Amino acid sequence: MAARRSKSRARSKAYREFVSEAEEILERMRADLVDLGDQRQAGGEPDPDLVNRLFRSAHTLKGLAGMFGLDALSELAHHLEDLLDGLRLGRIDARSPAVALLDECVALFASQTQDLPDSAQRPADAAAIRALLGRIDAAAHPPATAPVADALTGLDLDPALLRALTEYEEHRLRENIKRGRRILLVEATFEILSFEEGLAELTKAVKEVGEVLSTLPAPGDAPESQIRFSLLAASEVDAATLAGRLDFPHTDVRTALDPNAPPPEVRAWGRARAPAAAEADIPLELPEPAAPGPRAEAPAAEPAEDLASAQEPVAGPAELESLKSISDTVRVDIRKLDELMNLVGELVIQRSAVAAIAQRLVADPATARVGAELQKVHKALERKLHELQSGVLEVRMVPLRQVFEKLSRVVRRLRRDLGKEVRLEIRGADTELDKLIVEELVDPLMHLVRNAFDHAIEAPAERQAAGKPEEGTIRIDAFQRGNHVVIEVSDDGRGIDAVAVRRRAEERGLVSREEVLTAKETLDLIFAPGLSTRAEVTETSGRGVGMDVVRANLTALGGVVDVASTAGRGTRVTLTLPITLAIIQALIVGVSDQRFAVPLNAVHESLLVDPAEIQRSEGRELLNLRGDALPLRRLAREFGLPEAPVTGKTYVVVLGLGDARIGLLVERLEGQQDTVIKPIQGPVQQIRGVTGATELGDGTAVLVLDVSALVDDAVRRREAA
Amino acid sequence: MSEPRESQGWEQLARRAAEGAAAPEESALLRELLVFTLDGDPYAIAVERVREIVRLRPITPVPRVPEAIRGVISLRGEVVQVIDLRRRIDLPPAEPTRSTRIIVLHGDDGRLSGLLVDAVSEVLRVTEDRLRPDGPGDATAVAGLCVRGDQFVSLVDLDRVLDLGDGR
Repeated sequence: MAARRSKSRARSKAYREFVSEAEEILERMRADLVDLGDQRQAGGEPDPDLVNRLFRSAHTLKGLAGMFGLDALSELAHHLEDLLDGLRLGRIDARSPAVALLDECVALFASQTQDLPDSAQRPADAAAIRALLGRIDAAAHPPATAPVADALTGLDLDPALLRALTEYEEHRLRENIKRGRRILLVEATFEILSFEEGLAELTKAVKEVGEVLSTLPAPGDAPESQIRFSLLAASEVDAATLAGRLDFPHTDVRTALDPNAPPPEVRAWGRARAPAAAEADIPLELPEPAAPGPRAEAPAAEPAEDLASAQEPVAGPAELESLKSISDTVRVDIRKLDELMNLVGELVIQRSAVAAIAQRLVADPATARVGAELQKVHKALERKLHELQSGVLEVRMVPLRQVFEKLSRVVRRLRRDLGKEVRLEIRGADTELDKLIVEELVDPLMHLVRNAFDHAIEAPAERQAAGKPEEGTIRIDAFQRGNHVVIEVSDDGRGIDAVAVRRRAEERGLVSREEVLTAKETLDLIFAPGLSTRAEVTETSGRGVGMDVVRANLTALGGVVDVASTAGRGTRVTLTLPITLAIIQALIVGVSDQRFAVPLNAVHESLLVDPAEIQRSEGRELLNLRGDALPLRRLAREFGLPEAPVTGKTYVVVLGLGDARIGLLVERLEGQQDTVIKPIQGPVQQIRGVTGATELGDGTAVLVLDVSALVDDAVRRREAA
Repeated sequence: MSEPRESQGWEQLARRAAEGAAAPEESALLRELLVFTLDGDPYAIAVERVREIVRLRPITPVPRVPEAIRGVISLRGEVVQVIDLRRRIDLPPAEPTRSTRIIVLHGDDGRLSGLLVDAVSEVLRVTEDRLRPDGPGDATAVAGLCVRGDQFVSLVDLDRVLDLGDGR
């Protein structure tokens, strides 16, 4: 042990990894504990899945702490595991004060982890841990209660099947019998090739009307290519009803126990079944460990299997197994991915050089054949490179789930603290985005949700008077649309008061009294700096952070934010984001002898315009774009480049982030390209109007335009005018 | 491929020096300087600041920056600003030639910068006693002189040359 510890000491990097891994797990546990707390308050049974998840988290923590030689923490995690074990097996009642210890445990673990010095020299606060351990032990092992009369005797089930149940499954079985539910046995046969989907569908269908207690492979005479499963379920509905709901071939449902019916006739199970009196022989008493049997190979009962082996308090092979599964995931510094991405980008550039050579070879009759071969090889290379590129991109992608879970925790907390009835509905949590973008989204989304909670959703009485359900709803929808991800945050609250927004904007001098604004323009004023329609700033919505910050955050990510609102009905804020920042699609435009890249996500359309169509107002150029005045900027003039005399038609690229639009006058459109944006290094740190540069196929650097700066400049000039 | 590779030697020397491989043995006071020419005159900078020396390649002009910045080049995927040293120290402009080079420097903060010079000539190993800290009185970018034979080599004050203010 000592040797292990000194070895660990040398690896402060490993400790940081431990800490970050542990923090992730603790974060998840906190979320689950909040859920558990909710369920306790509602007075219901804790959701078995939830308790199992908590148990698994504690188990992983124990493994991690052990691996890093942190014995005190490992001990703490072990007791935490014990406590959860008691809870999930029903030894500890969900309403017992022991459950409150869970929170304390997690909090202590978190604080110990945080204080962990790099070298872990300082022993963790042993006294605090020991004190808590004592209390857990007292709570986790209450005096044994008298065993209840065995409820399983009346079951019309194969004893072998009963023996195969894990301790937990058996607990759930007893629990359901106690509540007077029907116990049903569903037997189904699947093709071995596709049984996973079939079984998942069946399980889902059964869950709609009850609880699936256990899934076991059924012995039997199924042909080679098929596999049979038994699902033990508890439900309020009877076998016939369930069978009617299950639209699966080769599926039978029968009743194992019907509390409303007289005891079923004893059935024969191959060998004659012993009368009820003899059933006590069947080793089913709770403290017995689950008998090793057919379960050991049960492929379909995996989650439960994990847990069963996890109960082993000392490190056995099962535990080593679970530690191994931790290391299946690799934590990678995103900068390393960036480096990979750069390499791929360079390869892409090299590839176009190869393409050019092939083209030259083909053009010369003397080398045309070699050239054609090279072109073929080049095609294959191009395809593979593309796959490599998307592979690297994919690694950066993470689902939005984590962010959304944070949000729902916040809403739960607010609901409790403020006593406001608000429900958060989340859809599309599996939508994936670049990790960097997801990180940056937390604050804006948090702000939007708090805003909705605090300002938009009315008090229950007010809602009732308006004919709305007392409980308000905040909805988050995420989905992919082309190369973008759209996240909508909507509520069914009071909507934005356009009159108040206008008044406020006038007070702040953002608009003049005379200025005529469309409804949409008025609404968009909420994104102006320093505008909040409610005079008082509450704790909930935070201080000093407004919609202007939300917009700024989104713009920094190359995203767009829009708002729509109906008075009395609700508000919807729509965030549109690029899927990744690493590679962007760019439109290459040309002025004079220069080329520039414009991020395609900011390009709305491009027009071919006759110079005669360009109008002027106070010296500023405008274009009539389907009835709207589109301010024009000449890219050459913006950047001080020589302007070619306009002879024929010219190109106008309509740019915009959010709702502001400008038309950028350019001389040439040179096509679209995937580009990797690089920062510009050198003495000048920031170049207004330029976000970076990218290398094109011929090895030259091309500047990437900062669309938001260009639009801002145009807007500011309009305001100054 | 057919172009002469005469800069290779300097490049390697500079790199080796920058990596500290050519540590001075004889005297702790030995300094290594990269000597280059501007408008016919020799100038020098400390070899430690040099990352590499590259041939002239297409320079993309950049708007809204001080005039001394010629633009940016792409260096194996990295985008680096290039300062025209002639412009920076108010020498008459000149057309690039075959010997024109870009000296790529690393900054203290890890950022790279490029320095456009007429030609790179040698790495000079000098002892500290041959350095004259005082340059011509009114110079803005020369920190001192170094004696080479009967000739003076101007020591460029890189910190001042690279300080262009932050945009405009």
